[in-house]
Amino acid sequence: MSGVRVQKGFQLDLNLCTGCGACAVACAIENELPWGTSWRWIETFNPDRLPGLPLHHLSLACNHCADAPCMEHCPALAYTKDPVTGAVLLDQGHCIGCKYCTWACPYDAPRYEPQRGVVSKCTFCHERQLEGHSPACVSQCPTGALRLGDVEALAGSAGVAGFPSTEAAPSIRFVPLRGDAAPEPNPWDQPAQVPPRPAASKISLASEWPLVVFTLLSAGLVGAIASAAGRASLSLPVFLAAAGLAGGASTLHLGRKLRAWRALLNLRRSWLSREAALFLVFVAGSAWHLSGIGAPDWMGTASGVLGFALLYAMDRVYDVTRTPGIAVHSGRVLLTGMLAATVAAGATAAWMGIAGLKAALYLQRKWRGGVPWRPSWAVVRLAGGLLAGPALFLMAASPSWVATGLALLVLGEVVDRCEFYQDLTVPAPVRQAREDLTRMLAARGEALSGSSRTR
Amino acid sequence: MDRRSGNEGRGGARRPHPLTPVPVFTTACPRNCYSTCSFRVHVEDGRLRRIEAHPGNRAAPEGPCLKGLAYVERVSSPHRILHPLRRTPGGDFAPVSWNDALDEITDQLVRIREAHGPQSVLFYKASGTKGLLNQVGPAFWSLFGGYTTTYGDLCWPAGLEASRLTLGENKHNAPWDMENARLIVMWGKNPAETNIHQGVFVERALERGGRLVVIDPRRTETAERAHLLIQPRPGTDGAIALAVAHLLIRDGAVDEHFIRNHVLGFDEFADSVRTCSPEWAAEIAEVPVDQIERLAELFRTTRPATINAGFGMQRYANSGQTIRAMVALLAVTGNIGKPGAGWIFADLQSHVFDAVKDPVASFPPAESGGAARVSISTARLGAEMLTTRDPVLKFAWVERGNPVTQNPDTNTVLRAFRSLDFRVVVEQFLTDTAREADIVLPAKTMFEQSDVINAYWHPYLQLKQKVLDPPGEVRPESEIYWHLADRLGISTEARAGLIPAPSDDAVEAYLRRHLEQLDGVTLEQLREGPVMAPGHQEIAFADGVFATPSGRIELRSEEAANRWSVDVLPSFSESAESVRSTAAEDDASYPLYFMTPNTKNRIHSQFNNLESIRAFSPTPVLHMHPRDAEARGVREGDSVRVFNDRGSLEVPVRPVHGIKPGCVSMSNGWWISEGGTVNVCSAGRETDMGHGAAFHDNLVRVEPVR
Repeated sequence: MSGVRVQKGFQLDLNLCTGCGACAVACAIENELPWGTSWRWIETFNPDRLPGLPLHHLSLACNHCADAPCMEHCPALAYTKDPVTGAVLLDQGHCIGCKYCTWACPYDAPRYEPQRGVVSKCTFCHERQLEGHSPACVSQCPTGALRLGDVEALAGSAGVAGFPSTEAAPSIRFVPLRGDAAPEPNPWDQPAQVPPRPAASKISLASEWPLVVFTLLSAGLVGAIASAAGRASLSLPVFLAAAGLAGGASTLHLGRKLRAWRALLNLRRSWLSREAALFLVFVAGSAWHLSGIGAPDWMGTASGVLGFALLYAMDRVYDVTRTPGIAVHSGRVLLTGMLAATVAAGATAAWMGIAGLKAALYLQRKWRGGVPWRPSWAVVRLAGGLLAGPALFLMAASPSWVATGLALLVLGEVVDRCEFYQDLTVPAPVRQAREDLTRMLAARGEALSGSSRTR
Repeated sequence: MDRRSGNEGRGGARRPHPLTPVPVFTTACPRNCYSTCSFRVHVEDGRLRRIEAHPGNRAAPEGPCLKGLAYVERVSSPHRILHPLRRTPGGDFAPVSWNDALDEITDQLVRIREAHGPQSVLFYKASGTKGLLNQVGPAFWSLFGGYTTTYGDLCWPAGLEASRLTLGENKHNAPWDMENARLIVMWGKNPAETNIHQGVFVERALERGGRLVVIDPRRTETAERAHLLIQPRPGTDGAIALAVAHLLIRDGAVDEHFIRNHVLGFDEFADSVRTCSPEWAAEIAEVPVDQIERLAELFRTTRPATINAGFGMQRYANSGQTIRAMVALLAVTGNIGKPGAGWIFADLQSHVFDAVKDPVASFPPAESGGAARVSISTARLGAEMLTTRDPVLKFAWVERGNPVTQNPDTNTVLRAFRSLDFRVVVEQFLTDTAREADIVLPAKTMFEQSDVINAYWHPYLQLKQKVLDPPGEVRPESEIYWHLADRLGISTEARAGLIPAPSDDAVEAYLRRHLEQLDGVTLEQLREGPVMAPGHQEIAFADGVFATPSGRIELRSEEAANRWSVDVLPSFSESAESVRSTAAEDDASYPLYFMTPNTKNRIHSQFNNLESIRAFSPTPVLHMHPRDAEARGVREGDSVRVFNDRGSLEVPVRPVHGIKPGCVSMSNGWWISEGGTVNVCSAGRETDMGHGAAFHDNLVRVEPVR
């Protein structure tokens, strides 16, 4: 990593770590965090002690990655990398509280503090390190399981069950369990399953509903402007009101709204900055176009292009997330924007094609994806949004039926977008542990049926 | 741990240099815990800033456990009692001045002494804190004219007594010697939670190719790294030990030279285990036969071997005999008095101030009389408080303990305390016992008065040094006694040497006077760090000296038979509460063994009231095998009622595969006010020897709460 003299890193010996949690308490003491909270925590692999499978603990905090996703994606440039230790440091005075880093980090290290409206995370006890001391968690570990060293020189493996494998180059090494670690099953043991105990996602509709408003309103406005019908159907005040509502909604979920301008600072690396910037440019261009005051003729087209660039950026923001089991979510705003544009333009064949594509993606997600069916939502989405809505819209004679059809169409999009936020997850150790455990259990089942157990 | 962290932190503005030099003091943790860590304490602006390990303690050099760290919260917890409290008519507590509190206590004491005699006062103390100053209480009550107190102990007497009868005394190799062991048998001990620093030495032994066997009905944290885990039915460990002895003797895998020189009663023992086949033991313990055979094979092929027995396993009514059988395994294989070999239960080599050591020190005196009436069995505290006569009990003084939560048979203990005229409890927090008091006096923490402490896993003497002034109106117990003595008209001459005056100098003089008995251990030395107890053996019994009547390791013990009416040889019988014996009697009403182990999060009933600990264990929970949960139609998080004839509690259930079917488990130490103490179900019953508490003989039924 450029600029870092020696990247320091943690080493965790799984044979020595008992998951006692002294590291987490030491962190709270050193950093004077409220009692019962910590920047370090224990993730236990196989906490239900499934027979025949090993249990180990991961003492985790920020891994001060060489290529830190939090730093890459932070729109406000609040993160820096300390050149001496390689610590990834967060300047809370620059944090806007957008929580994007909490999505981007696959290790669950930054966490949002609702009371203060900013994110906080492990500092690598970087001031202690500058004075020649280990981080508190390392220096206080009662078994010496957690150590600090130059990451290049640390023995151990870069990965272990329960630890998400990423491109971020996390500065941690694991001394693996000795080969025969795990008590063998007893005669009374039954075939075990990983108990259904889903980990709560950091992203949910309940917390992200302002983003449903922001993204769908944006898609609608882009559709209207791009269809070239904008000038005819949208007055400037209506456009500005809608854009204001969208923009307002987007800042609603910021912890520090007065610092919203900082969202524009990381155009070089963060899709969130690009989204914010494109939104402003799109709104400005469209407003100029709609005002008719001295706007060149190509301004409408240019605004439409900017609008689609905005929707593209909007979708790219969610690159850091994933929806289990699927590649393309039908709730992507680029699709919604295209639907809106083609409906507004009256391009029936085109929008029916897009609606069909959305229906196919929706069904594929429900059939194959690892997401819940949500039957009543699905009925509204499919029957209302993609069948009844278009049918009414196409066949009805009276304006009120057209309006009803349009409303159903919009409702369908709202449902889809809501599901989008409900379905999203971000990689995290707790989820990784369940996936790895499920895989190990399956593999062991195959091995057991294939040969007799020996020791 | 709750991963939300919030607001400005506790310390207000973050300082630019967190390690700006602050005064650092050496002190030591006085909890009833194997590790007895040495601390280096950073004090900043009159408050604890951080606690680190003192590297001079070879047994625990890396760092204190999470509880040790949590003292930073504990000393300044908003829940700490900082003023004397008086029970109000409404049942709450209100602050009261020291003068009023001590006046009222004095009035009650004088009235009760006149009406019923001084022995109607019960002085109850437990293992809450170690130290020489603990002797001040009994000294005061003697000066008062007399008192009643308990004999025996909740913790470890059966094992201590069995070890003493067999080996002559309770001592073992230094903790760090364990890395030399090639075979380590953790028999009912879970050091990963209760003696975390031992894990380092175990790991070193395993790293060098050593083998680890864990014997425990639960797949514990320690069992995770075991090469062999045997999960017996609780209370049947003795059968396994005898079967292993049977196999070793049958196969000639014994150390004849060692036996000839050091063992008494081998031939009789060999005869007695002839019937103890692995099949016999496997049927009793409900484990696969091959596990017992593999354990014997490990003893046959692997030396040196260490057996480390835990305390929980010897809280059954048959456990003195169980422990004798375990020690016998080491005796017949010659695994005693050598590096990496031996019996690890308790090392009392640092108990240098005790003329008579535990367990004998806690036995009731052979003859009654004197100021102290030592007449109440700790194991049967509640019942015997209620039945004591001539005089009956009227007043209780409780310090260093929380008997309502921790003694067997909570409901009877509560009834006994409530039957008294007056109760005084010295406490840091409003525990279940403090809530029963008429007056609660604020207790010091370990940082607020100096004392000298010993240990029972390592051989160090340590100074638990005062580093802070007591907050609020807190007074150390010795000062409380001093002021009470003033009021009771006990002359200062009578107090001399027994109760130090209320000053740091007087306390130091008191400690110095005790240290003078020792060969060259000074307060100044202790101020720097831990000091090995004079005369300790790093490899216990390396000299081949056994302080038994015969001078040998006594497999055959006349004293055991005479004193405790047990077999003269180690033997197995079903324990007091067994699903096999009750099945015949009353149709298996209580089919589940209720295990109540300790956890890493607590020392008995201490620490779990702190936020930083509560984050790891927010509520009590009952562990149960999924098969047993299924049979009762309960799922994770469902509330269940755990009960027997003695009591009942309601807790959420968590099915876990690691526990043996037929056993359920909930850690002890939860306060009633935190969700329920396990001891509502336990029985006030003594162990077969040593006057221990057999409260792990505890059968219950579990039903869903609908």
